Amino acid sequence: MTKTAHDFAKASAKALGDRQSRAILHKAIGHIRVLRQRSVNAMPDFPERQARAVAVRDKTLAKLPELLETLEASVTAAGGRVHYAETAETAATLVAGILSERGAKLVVKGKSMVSEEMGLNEVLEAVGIEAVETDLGEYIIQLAGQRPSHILAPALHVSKEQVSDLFARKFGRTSTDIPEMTRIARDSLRQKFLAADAGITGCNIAIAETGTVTVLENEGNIRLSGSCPPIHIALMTLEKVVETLADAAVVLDILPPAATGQTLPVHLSFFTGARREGERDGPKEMHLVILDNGRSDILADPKLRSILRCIRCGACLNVCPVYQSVGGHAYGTVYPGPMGSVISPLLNDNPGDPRQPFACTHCAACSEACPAGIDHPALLQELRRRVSETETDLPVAAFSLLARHPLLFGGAAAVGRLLDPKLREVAAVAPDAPVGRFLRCREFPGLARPFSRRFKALARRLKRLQGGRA
Amino acid sequence: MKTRAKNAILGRLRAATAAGFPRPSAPTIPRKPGGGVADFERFAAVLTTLGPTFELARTPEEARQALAAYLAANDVKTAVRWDHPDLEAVSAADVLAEAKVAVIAPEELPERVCPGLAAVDLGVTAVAYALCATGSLVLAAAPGRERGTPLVPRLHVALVAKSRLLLDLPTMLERVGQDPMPSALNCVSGVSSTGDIEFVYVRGVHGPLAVHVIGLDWL
Amino acid sequence: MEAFLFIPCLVEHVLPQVGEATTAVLVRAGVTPTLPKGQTCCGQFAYKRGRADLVRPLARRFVELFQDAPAVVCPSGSCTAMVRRYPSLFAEDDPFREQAEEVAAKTFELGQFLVERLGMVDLGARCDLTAALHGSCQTTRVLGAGSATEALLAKVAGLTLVPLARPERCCGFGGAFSIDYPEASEAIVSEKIDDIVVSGADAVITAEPSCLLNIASAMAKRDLPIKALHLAEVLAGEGI
Repeated sequence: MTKTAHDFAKASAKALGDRQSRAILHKAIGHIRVLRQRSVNAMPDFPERQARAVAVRDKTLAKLPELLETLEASVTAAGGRVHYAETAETAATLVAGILSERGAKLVVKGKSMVSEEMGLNEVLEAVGIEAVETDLGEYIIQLAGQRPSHILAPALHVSKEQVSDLFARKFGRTSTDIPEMTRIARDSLRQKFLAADAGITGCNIAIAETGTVTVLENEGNIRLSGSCPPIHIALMTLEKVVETLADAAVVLDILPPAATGQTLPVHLSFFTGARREGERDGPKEMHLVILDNGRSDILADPKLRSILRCIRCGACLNVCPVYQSVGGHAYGTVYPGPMGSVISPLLNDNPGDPRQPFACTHCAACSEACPAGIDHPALLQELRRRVSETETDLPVAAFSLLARHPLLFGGAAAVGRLLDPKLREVAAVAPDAPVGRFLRCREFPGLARPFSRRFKALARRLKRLQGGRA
Repeated sequence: MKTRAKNAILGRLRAATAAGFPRPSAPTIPRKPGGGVADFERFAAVLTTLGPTFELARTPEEARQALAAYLAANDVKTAVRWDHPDLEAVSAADVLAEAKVAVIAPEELPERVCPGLAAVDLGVTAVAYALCATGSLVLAAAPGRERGTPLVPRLHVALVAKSRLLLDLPTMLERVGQDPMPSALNCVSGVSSTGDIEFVYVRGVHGPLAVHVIGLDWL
Repeated sequence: MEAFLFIPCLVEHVLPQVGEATTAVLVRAGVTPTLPKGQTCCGQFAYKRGRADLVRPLARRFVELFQDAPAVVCPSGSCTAMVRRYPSLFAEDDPFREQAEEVAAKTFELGQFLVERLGMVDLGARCDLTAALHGSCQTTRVLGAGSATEALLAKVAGLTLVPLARPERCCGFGGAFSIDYPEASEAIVSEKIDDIVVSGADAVITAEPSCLLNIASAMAKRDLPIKALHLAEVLAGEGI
């Protein structure tokens, strides 16, 4: 099957034309940035927390097969069932199968990027199961028929006026007051929670020794999804496991501050298996679906495996100048921003634009912000190397060849100086030529008489001056 | 087919982590609990910045009065409660009865608990632990301690015995690791909130709209 | 003391005044600058395109040109960072790697050279300006020389530094990024300029020629009366 690859350049240009979304994104990201800074500033031990977390993530990756087996044994012992899925598609089919077999009609969902990766909602809809997103942002996105634009705050790009219009259309009841709109959503979702046949959630950390699914959230919708319906299905990608409760504590030490600037989110839930003997609520059945979708191959790739340290805090998105400007949709993938630019091309499906790793200003804000010690710029560099092996980059090759011969290099610059006024004309008549693209928003100062030709006279003059002063 | 996926995935992971896989960059060092003392002053100071209200009862009688006053002030007509020794220590059931609150005892709950609690005003629980550093209530599910009680009614009152105060989350995880994990352990810090519309902070999205904590200073 | 000048191609052909100011600053610091002939490009452009294979011949040229230098000084954080990266482009057992390491170890960005190598922060410079510092990403995060820039500017008489709202934020140049993704690049540089305007500065200072060119040419397009200066130009003051 050949699909036309996503074109980030085109999509981002289009996204940049949407001034309203950009302004909202801008405001929201500025807000997260302040919260995170405040929280990290209040934690003088953040670097130590970070070092501990990196060590835990690395230990986890080194012992991954063993930990998954322990996890399965523990979940099973606690009355749950573990399923493995090779691809996003098989995972979605598997979940749909579990639900169909049990006659489930209505499913409430806590926000889960794995579910997005699986395209689960469409698969469930196809078999006649209503799947309701219950995270407020995700709910808004679902009602609007859109895709999340941020891994933590999916509706980051939507204005309150847009939400208000949407609610008016969907519920016949609306407001422009944000607390009131939140109340409308609460009322609507509450009916769903109470009536749902199953709850589907993600999993921030799976604890192998206890078989525990750990989820973090502020709203309480995940807690409800994992507590009220008679079936709970938790979705995780295979690297989300840690060995012990103590290891989980180490990850929990950095995840909320890096993600939202909180010490702890409002709801931190540890779900271990199904309801126990004598308990009257909690799911009678608990399933844990472990998805690979290309990650076992990433683990086998020594140059790129460190991306599996990622704990999905979203910090790299929030500091990335490219993400901040174009927003999440332009990436055309489930995971946007720096972590997405690294992992998307490595996943089995929906790899996005093959040239995504080039859409980077090399500013390294991502690696600085990453609490898990991922060196995104180095990983993107490796991905660029791999892409460049498959294509001919004529301008770079020509430039580099010239640079090997100073006379040619100088000569080319001299030609450039002669053509300089013409270059501007080229820019005017051919705005899509490289020069034109660069000069869209810039006034080029022009090529100058080279420094090396000025140096001798300058050095002499400076020496005289210096001598005079001494 | 299911075992095939499992075997294929674990097989690839084993091959990937076999010889040549670098040892972890550093030994893992457990997170040490933070400093300071675990007391009600510290707990309440953090808790009340997160939305819940707090009052300290020095005696069982004060606790009963506090609960009764809360019921009256919040127009509580119906309630559900946990079966828990800390509730018995303040005779919570009697207080509710005296206030003419219709109480659903754990054994009277319907087959599907959560929908049955939708119209209930108040859930009364104790806690497994309370964390001073983060103002958190740690709720552990068990027979007679339904998950829905502190979650579905519009109000939640938690009784926190002094002996259940711990410093922070790492201390709590160390403690809970000594026994089998309950089916659900919820560490709740504040009142449900969201910032999903234009990053405007709103409290009370799901779960109880208000949380009140009564500290039991003698227990 | 003697130092070899490593002049990036952008300075050689587009911003020669930055090279002149660098020379003047070094002379003022008591250093005799030497300009080795035959410099072209450090290979950063090809490197960021994922073409380390095209960089290696340029790295070999560079190491030959500079191996006899007592020290190498460059008015660019990103080009210095590229040279510091050279050894990693060669296999562990490649004998050339050691030579590359020697040259990388003695190559400094101008501010870094003055502060870390010479231990000088006060060059007696004067510059009557209210300015904002754009600490370039390559100089600060990648090379780790941001504190040297700040220390030097703190000692410039007459200079008032005003903070930018988001000082750590990229200017959106990113080499080929500005050509491949012109709309995104424009959006990012516009925000940078908005921050500069809001700061109330009369000038913006940076230790990175590519940021300088990007910000200056975008400000020129908007006809803003704000100067863009390289660190060397500020430190040279009226010295040239």
